[in-house]
Amino acid sequence: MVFTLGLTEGWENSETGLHYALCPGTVPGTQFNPDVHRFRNGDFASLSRMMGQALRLLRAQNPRLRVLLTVSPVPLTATATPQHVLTATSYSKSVLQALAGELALKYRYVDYFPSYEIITHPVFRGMFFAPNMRSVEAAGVDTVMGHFFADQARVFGAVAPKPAPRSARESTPDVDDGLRCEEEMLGAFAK
Amino acid sequence: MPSPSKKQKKILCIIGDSHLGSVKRAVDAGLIDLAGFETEFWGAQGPTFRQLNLIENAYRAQTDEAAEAVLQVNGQGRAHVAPGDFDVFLFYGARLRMAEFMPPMLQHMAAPNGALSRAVLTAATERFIQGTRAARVAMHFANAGARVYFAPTPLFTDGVIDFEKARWAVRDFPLAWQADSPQREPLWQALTDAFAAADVGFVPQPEDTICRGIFTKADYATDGAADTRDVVHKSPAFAAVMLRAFLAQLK
Repeated sequence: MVFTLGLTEGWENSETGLHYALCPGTVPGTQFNPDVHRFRNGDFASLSRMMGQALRLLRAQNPRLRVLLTVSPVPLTATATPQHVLTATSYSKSVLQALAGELALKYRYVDYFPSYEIITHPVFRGMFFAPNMRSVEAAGVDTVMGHFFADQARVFGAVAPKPAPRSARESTPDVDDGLRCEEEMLGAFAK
Repeated sequence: MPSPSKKQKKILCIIGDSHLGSVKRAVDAGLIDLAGFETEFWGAQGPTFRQLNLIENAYRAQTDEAAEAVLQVNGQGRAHVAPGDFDVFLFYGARLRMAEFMPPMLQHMAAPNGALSRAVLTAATERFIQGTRAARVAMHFANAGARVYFAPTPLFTDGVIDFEKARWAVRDFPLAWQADSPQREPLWQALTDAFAAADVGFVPQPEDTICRGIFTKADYATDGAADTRDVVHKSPAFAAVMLRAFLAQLK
């Protein structure tokens, strides 16, 4: 499983404790209720605890699961904290970087891939960012994935080809209809 | 049976599965001019085609059933084909199914936030090709010094497909239906590049035979397709289009 950590800011339901993927009221069909919807900016300790619980839950379901953590290099567009968005971005990314590093050290089945560093390192002078200086250009994605596959091959060896999943083949039309194939051939090559 | 000697050597060998039928019909009907070539066909229909394999540097039948099919298709007693037997090989159809590759790739590429990096596209394409035995055989032949081309199995035929039975086409790939030539181009290029890396020429399905993103135009349906719901096989006219594309590459 590849898990990309994005930002520490989020919204939760104050009654149930459940977290929302987006701030309620910012997408059609939802309404923001200040009595129920509560902003939370995750700190290292609580995020570390929750990620540990999530990883143990996943491994309980699949003991062979291996996890690759990355941190998104995309900066925050806005923040719900009183901080400037630059400061808020630094906070989010710093906490998540530290968290990914700690989890990779703590759990033998967790690893970290430095896509964040590849995109944001000063040596690349921001060349992988689009003109809006936020989105990552295809060249950046190519560079990251090129390193990713090269490293996978270096550590685990070349990927052996696998046939398409059986379910995918079953969902397509009857491409292996032997009768039709035979008719095609016999009609053309019969003596 | 040993391969024929140099004196009997043919120039062009078209190897394939049941799609060979449309090529043979196109040649017989004069839709394509192969007069500049001495041509042999070699292969077997769908399920039997899987019983052909690369053994001791030659493409051979592994079962009596396949051996019988091969001899019937070839008509000249050639039980197996080796890289040095012909000047040019064209693998036609041969189980490399564009209908299994194009729709999901186009869907991924068109999805919101679905950027497909060149590295991922390359890896997926190589995996798709390497998963097809005939493609591996073609690459082996090229590696042995033969001049080899590969024309894949075309996209499913529009106007024939039964959407009641093939709801996947609507459900799984709605964005792929919107794809046009510029969206398909990177995929054709990835296939071309992957084959070129193995010195095999790839013959993409001509764009003017494609409609609605992921389908072959209904004009190219095989005879009786409306009754049999045969979305796979194509007409001799389609084979002629493909052969002309192949001949253009040869030049």
